[in-house]
Amino acid sequence: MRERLVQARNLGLAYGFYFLLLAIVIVFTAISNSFLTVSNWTQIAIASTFLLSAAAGLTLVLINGEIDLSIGSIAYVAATVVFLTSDMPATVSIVAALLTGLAIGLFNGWLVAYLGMNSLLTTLGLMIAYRGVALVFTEGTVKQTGEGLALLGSVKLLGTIPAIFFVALAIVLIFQWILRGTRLGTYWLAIGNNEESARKIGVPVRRAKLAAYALCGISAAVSGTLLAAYLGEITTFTGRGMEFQAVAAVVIGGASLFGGRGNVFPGTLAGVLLLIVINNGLGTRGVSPFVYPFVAGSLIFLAIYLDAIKNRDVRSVS
Amino acid sequence: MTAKLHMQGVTKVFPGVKALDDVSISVKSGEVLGLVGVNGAGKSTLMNVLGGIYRPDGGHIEIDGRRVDFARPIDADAAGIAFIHQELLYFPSLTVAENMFISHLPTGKLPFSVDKRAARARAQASLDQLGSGIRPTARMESLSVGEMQVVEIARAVAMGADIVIFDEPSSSLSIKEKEALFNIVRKLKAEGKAVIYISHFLDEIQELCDRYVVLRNGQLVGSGDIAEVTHDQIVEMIVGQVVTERAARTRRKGGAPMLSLEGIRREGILDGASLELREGEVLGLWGLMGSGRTELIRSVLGLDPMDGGRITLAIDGDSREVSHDELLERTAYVTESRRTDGLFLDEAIWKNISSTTLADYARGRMRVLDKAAEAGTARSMIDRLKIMTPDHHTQAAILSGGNQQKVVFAKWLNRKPDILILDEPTRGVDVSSKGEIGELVGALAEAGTSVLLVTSEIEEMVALADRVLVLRDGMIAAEMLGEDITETALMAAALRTEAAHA
Ligand SMILES: Nc1ncnc2c1ncn2[C@@H]1O[C@H](COP(=O)(O)OP(=O)(O)OP(=O)(O)O)[C@@H](O)[C@H]1O
Ligand SMILES: [Mg+2]
Repeated sequence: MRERLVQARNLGLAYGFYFLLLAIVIVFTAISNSFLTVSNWTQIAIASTFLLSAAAGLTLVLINGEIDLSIGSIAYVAATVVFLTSDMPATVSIVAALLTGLAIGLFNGWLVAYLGMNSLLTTLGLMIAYRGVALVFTEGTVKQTGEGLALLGSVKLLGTIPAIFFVALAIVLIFQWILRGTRLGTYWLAIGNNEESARKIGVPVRRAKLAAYALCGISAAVSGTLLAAYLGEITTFTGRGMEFQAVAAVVIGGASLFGGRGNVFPGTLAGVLLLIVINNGLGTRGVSPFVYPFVAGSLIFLAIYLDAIKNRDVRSVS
Repeated sequence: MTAKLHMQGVTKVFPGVKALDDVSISVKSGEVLGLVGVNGAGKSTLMNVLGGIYRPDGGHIEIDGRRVDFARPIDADAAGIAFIHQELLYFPSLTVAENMFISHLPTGKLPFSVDKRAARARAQASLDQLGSGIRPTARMESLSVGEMQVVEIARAVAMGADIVIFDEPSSSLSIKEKEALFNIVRKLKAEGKAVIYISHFLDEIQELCDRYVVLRNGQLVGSGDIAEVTHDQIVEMIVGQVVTERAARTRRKGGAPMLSLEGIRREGILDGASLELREGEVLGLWGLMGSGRTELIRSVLGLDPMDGGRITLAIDGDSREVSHDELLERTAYVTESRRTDGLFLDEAIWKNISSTTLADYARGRMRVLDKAAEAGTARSMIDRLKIMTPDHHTQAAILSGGNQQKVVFAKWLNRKPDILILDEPTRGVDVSSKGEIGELVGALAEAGTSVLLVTSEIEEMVALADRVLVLRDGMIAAEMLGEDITETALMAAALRTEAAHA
């Protein structure tokens, strides 16, 4: 009996949020007839795109047992680069924005991996600093992107779904492959499991972490670039609060804040969808928008609480 | 034939201790060298130098007659040295194959990719070579300690290491797993590897090794062929003095019942175990790993779930049913896993020792801790248990494995409990300290403490227990009294369990 309870609990811990996602989709479909429509799911895909592309990179950093809270600001800096290059061809804008993300990611990674700075506090500080730099250039106002980029941002595939969503999806799949299919990914998991052992056994801990931060920087820059392309303009809201949503999505998706466990696909993808679908579903029911932060916050709390339980189990076993 | 490995005049100084003082050893291919010495003698330090973890302050290493210099562990790896650590290094959420090849993952077709199939096949091959049934795709966290160790050895085999170091490999293995380990060591020897084997169990050393080296206080005090020394001669070298036979002792009868357990059950593990622990006796719980020894204790203390049963405790002469917390209050529990729940590794020794009884040191209305008194207790414990350390301010983490275990012991002794539960109290503790800890336990029982002892070491059970209960499949299967407690009887009881499981 107890065995079975434990099994059921472990199953719940492992797949609980997938069931929840399914249940929520069913409930919203039942209570709102505008929920399960093509146009609404197109909305969901668009809303997911920006969070998804940033959360994918963050997953890799969390698996290392570190964190990057500056991703929202990196997205804004990347969008600002798009604005600064708006008279040049779209490809130049894109490359410049992504290189900026890469550079910032490398800098963050260098501070954490090589100088041994605490990632939580360091990136919290940098989150403010990067946004500050971007604000200097945008003067805190709305700016236009180049026309070429705006055009790219409006391309649709498979009927109504915007191409930008597929860009985010591609990042998810590529990162998942790096995580589970390459040497680097195995190093990340090992580092997240036990950094000290990893070092002793000859894993290049610092280089691996640096790479995770670099990819995280690029992924955040993609998010900012996609948003700018989609809107055709750069608003000061770009990436604001995204770091917390992304952490939530990653942890809901099964990655551990303690490191060593997690997946970009399907984990983080499911986490992002859960947050976005809830927001969207509440919207289609005409629920006050002020309810959403409470619901999302409770969900985040739940995810982190469950993560702690899972980890306690693992520790007491070993 | 020249030596495969030669360490010449190695010296290593840590702040406050000279851990190694001009030590030279050599090992030939196809030879097993036994490395012995008391806790803190410098065995692990010597191997850490060989494994590239520490740089020596003097001396050098030669492999196949050529001088080598290891700046990092991977350098030693590359030179064909595999180190099976005293505390295993592993990654719980990775698979067995990933754990084995983490530093040498085979490359697949795509750039940077890992050829998982090749890794699995190679892992399978070296596990097969060791005659192990572990699957390469199993997650490391699903394995037992013994199995994890086999994985580490398989890793060494797969790397093609020709020098293999074992640092106290057998101390957390079951009887069956030990046999498997010995076979593996013999296989490595037959394949022409040079093996260095550290252990506190001299019978293992005598069974497995060709030659021995004894360290004491960081110095080499003896070496030679195993065939040419007796057990007692090695002990004398280790301890540095002639050992006197201890007089045969009479087994205590025990007084009034102190703790009684009735029908303790835990789904799938404990099946109605009952026992009575008396005042002033040492009651041994004997059985294999998995027989429910440790599980019984953990359930009764409320550390694991308990699905049924009664716990009755004598409190000031009255017997009554108690909760887990009331029992814990009156009990000291010395565990086998000092690293995870026995010690505050980053804290000083004196803080560790007083940590269970802080209230006794609180003075005045502000309940300020009397640090001088705490330090005094710590110093006397260090003397009493012969803990090898520069002083009581030393951080627990840098003590040798066995000395850490003594600190755990000191911490609980200091509490003067009614009931003392010992679960593998001398794991990793050397011969002479084992004797001292044994005497302490005896003295405590004389003074009226009720002691419940779990150990997988036969001699320890025979030496300490006044009465032994044999556990099998979560139930008490037999009781042994007085003269009946012999090594053969215990061995027979354990083997019977093994047969029943097979
Ligand atoms: N990193 C360190 N810093 C300071 N002192 C150390 C360090 N490592 C070991 N020592 C000291 O060096 C001495 C030798 O320790 P070592 O671990 O080699 O002993 P050992 O022979 O392996 O003992 P055991 O049988 O208990 O494992 C001890 O006094 C220990 O406290
Ligand atoms: Mg040691």
